[in-house]
Amino acid sequence: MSDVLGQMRAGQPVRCRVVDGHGHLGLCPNFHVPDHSAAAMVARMDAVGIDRLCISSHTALYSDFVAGNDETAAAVEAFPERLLGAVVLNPHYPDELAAELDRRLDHGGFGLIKLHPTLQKFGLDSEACEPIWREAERRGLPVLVHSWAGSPECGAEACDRVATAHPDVRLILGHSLAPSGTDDACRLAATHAHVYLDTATSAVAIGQIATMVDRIGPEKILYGSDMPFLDPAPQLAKVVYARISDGDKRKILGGNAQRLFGF
Amino acid sequence: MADGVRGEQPISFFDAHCTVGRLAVPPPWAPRSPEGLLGAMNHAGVERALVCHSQSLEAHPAVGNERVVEVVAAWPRLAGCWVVLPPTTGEMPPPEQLVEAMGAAGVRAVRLCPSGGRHQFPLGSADAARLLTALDARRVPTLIDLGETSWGEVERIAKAHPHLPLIVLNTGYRVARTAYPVLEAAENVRLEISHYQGCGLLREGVERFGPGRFLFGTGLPQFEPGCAVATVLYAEIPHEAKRLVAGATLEALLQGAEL
Repeated sequence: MSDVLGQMRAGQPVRCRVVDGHGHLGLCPNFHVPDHSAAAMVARMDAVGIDRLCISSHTALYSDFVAGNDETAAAVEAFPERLLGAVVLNPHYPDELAAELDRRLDHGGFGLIKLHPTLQKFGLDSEACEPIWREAERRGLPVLVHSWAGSPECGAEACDRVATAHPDVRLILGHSLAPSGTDDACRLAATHAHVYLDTATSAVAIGQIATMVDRIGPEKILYGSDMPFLDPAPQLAKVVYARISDGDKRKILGGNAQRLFGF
Repeated sequence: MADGVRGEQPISFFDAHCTVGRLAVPPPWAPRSPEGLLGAMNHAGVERALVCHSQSLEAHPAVGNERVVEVVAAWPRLAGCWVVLPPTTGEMPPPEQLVEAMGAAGVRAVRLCPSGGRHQFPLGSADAARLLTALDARRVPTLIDLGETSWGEVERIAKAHPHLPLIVLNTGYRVARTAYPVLEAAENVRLEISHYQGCGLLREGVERFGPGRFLFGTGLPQFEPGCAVATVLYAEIPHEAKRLVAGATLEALLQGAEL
């Protein structure tokens, strides 16, 4: 039996390096999330065995990106060894983008950019986003984007255009074009050396992770939970219970993210 | 089966949300036979499953209900669940005869699929009330997918049939604001947790409503069963609460059916 599988079957924290590349923070407007604070999420990370979590605040995604990035900064300051901040940028405020990036990166604790085209209603490949891609390129920052099948803002076509136009930006397709775009996500990751996929989805078809590994190998798949929307235990389980090798699981759970984020 | 510490009863997983048989559109890795289903259950550590037949859901329920009786006779780790219709069109026996037939067939739970995409019948009709009254009288666990009803309808049915164990499937992780008032209002409503995966959601629900209101389910063969197992095993709730959620409550509900 796989080591990590045995640990999960026993309800123990998994004993391997786990980096969760896709998390959030705080109260959510659409629905109730009980354990949404940084402290509560770190407690859940301890229970499951997660070392680091990349977070962006719901306030930043749903409303004021600067106020929300303040929340993220405070959480990262409280748990500097456990949390890594994602700077949310809203292209509807073009004059503030570079300064906001400077402020967060100078302060420390932030290591990537997060974009949510669906909530903030912009196209990933729109002109308004160009300054963000240029900044990411110039600063060498990975960009985690919400990607969703069929979305004009962040579906396969928009992601493909961005990946083609910005080959030096490491682009992480959050949710891997859920709910039905796994094939397209794998095609994009196979086509573009700098495109990565993450595992954060609320429902996982049986065998989905193994299918992704079959198609593109384990090196470009990153574990992500979408915590606190989703609890990390079932999210971790989708990788740990997958019919893939222990070595592949370890890459997906943490090895790939360590390399990508430079931990 | 997950062992407890000395003196604690082990946690045994009994899946409340499972389908056996070939699906019209199977995910690539979905098990397509009872043997495959049991293999997936073994991998996730699930002991037993309450199963509807795919033909009961996708074809006519009367056809699939015959199939599921055959399947569970051959596979004792599976317990049968019939999918039923109100008596309106005569496609199924009158409710009083239907529950007798269930008892004779060893089936102790039913599922309702009233939506337009499935069996398309109104839950508010007099015939549906007659069916629900017969199920209520025998305490038959009754499953319904949230996607085929509404919280308002769940509350209305549960209050009108207070002895009916009503189990809502596929509740998702965004439901607290709408589910909590129904759980408060009707003690016979229970939630199946295959997708009840919000951070701290199961803990909060168990603390607020008790562990008996939540039932482990996987959504097999479509979904990865290990996810639902982990939801229970890692929940910040006492061992006994995990045991109840994992399967003991479902077992008690099935045994409580007076058939």
